[in-house]
Amino acid sequence: MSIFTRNFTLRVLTALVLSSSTFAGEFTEERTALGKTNGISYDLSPVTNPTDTPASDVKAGFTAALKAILFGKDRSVLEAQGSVTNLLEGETDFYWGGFRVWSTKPQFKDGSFVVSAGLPTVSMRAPIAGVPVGPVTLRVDAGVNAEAEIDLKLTPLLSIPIQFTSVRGELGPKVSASGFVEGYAKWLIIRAGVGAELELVRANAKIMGQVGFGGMPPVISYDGFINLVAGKIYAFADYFNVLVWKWTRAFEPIITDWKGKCIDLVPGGTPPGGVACP
Amino acid sequence: MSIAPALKASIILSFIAALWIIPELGRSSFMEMDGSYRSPASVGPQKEVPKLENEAHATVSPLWPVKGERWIFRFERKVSAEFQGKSWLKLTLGGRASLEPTGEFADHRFFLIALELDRLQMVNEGVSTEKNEKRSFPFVRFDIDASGKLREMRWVSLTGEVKAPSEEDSDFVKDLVSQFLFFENRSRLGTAKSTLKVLAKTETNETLHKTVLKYENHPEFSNLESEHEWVSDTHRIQRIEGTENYSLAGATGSFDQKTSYRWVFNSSEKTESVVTDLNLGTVLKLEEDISSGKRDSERMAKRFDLKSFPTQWSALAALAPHDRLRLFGEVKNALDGGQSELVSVIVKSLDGNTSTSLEWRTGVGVLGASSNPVSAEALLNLYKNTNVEDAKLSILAAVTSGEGTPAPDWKRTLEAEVANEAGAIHDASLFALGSAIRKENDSERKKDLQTLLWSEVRNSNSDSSQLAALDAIGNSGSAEFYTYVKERFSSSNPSIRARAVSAVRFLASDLAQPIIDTARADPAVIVRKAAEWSKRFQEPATQ
Repeated sequence: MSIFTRNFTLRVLTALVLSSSTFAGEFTEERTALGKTNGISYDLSPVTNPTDTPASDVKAGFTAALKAILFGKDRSVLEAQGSVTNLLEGETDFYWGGFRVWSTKPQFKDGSFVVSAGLPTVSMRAPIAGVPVGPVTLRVDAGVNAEAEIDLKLTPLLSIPIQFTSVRGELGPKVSASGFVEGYAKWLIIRAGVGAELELVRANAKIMGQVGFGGMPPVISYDGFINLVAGKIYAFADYFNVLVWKWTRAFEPIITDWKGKCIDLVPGGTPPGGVACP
Repeated sequence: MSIAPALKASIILSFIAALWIIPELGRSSFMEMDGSYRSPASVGPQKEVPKLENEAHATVSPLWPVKGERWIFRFERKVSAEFQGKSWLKLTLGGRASLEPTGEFADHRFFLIALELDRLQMVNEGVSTEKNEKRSFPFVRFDIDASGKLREMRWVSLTGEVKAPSEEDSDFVKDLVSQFLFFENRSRLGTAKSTLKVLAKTETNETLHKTVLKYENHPEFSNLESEHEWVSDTHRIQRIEGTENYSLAGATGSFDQKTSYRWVFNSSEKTESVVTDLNLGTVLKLEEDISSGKRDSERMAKRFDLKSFPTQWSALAALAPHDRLRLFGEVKNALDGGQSELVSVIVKSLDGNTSTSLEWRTGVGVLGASSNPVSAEALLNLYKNTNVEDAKLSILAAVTSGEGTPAPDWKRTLEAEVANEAGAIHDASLFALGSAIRKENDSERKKDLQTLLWSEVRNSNSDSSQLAALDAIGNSGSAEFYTYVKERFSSSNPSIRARAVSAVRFLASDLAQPIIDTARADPAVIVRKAAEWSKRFQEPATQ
């Protein structure tokens, strides 16, 4: 339990809750392959408290959300939130690979709530419909492997009047996710496969600033970089050549070949993308 | 030696040779003059034999060749493929096969088959090529058990040299093996549903007819025609032939594959003990049971060299994220494919690393992601052997989010943890319990886990404990708790309603959709957002 106890009741009027959607930092890149959408959506934002949020549920903090779309399948990879309640208690909320994994209370250290969470690397698999490769259609497994480490620091800044109390802090997730596509089959004299080298996201981006319970608008900035959707999806079909007694390539279509998009974030804003990522 | 097993073995082995058709012995009854294919004889008296697998068939056929005797067969195999109704590829192989015993040891009986091709024809997209040169293959040795079943198969080179087969050689052998299994419901294409009929039977001759109705692991097959015929006299198998045609429907047209084979007895020879005492070595052991139904992609899983793997794995933190995730995926697939030896290397690599280190996160993650039971057991032991809370939380997160089924003994461990007072470990154990329910395949164990979660759910009186219980239920994806979730969805607290709608995300849509639809019109934004999030998981498994 933090040094801030429930006796230290700092309630915020519902009417003063801030809607900070205008400050949302969502970075999305989508590409189409085989008629289906592939891509990533990565969101680094202040916690939003909708206008109808009960006073007891008002929070100030930051969220990170990562969702992957692979061949039209939309999956939540990460939902992470670090916040301070209006009772001045630290809270975290982690969903990883679609599962709730933690409800760890942040440590209160030197006047700040801190969390350093390493999430175990996860694999999310989903079968997709047949992919045409030359003359045959393959059943294919696709999915996402992802790793994440999240650093959170939130420092409550008490103020009078009480609704002007705010929280200064930062949320710095290091997130990487790669897509995989696996399909292979052999039907006596023909074999075919589909594979991918797909880097969906590589991000070392941080959101930081000062967010309040309602008395003042958030002041936020970003730092770091986000690299989105690079790689290729390929396929092959071979037939068995009895004359040379080995498989011979019949088709080798490159389904897609994407260059990555890098977004370089600097403190104070989001500059145009297109620069080289580290 | 009883006659039935030996007969069965003889039948089976004969069927191998029936891969091939000998044109010199007359036109195959499977092929018309125009080269089209038709089924083997389907006339004459038919007597249904009710069951195929593992059934001893009283036949008139004799034993395998006895010591000092070699049977010679001619064979031919034809394969053709059409795409969009046009010829794409035609293959014809023909040659000789010889079969002889090579000795016995305990209940092992060894037979050697030698294959020599002398006819090769290929027509690829209109271009015809023919090679009639002789091409020999290494001997194939069969180890037949006392019941006449194939125990294993090995290869040895013509010079007696031991060597590993290439992939295509291995495929070729597997193709042979599939023909081996006339009386079993499996072939190189997988487990089959078949029927067997006795077409004719006298004191001296017997004709059996087998029809494969369906390959269970090939739902993509359409228009399957798979007919096989076996003819024997009192001396040996005289002829085995068959056709197997099927189509693969594609977006741009149908790919139709037609195959036939025929093996006809030619002659027998007396032999000196030419190969009887040949040291056959351990050339090739079948890598997996072809009836196992494993996906081809699993068969393709990379296997790691155990000598270099520790170095490779210990350097993972230095890799670029994408390369590390690729290594993670390859190791997961190798573990799933049975390379359990990697587990000890991975566990050892965790020593001295904190739960936030890349080594720990990747190592614990891959143990939790794999379906390998050795991995699952290692993860549990890791948990039991640490007192560091962060490490415990990380392991619980791997159990929760990983694709692998947790080790059975996790139930006892989680039970002990959730019995402790509320806290991070309690909640994380509850979430892991929910996830374990979702992944458990054993119905009894699943029921035990559900009972444990129920006891926690019933004890959830505070808002915070109900939120944790709903999260665990959400992780479970179990309809067992649906009534409770529905009840909580009517709570006046929007946080509870939001968590309840999140908890239906893995449920079948007929259960989940009404709650999601209602939640989308909820006055509270957090409930509406939870509905959108839950809906994301409701997409069909395949498109």
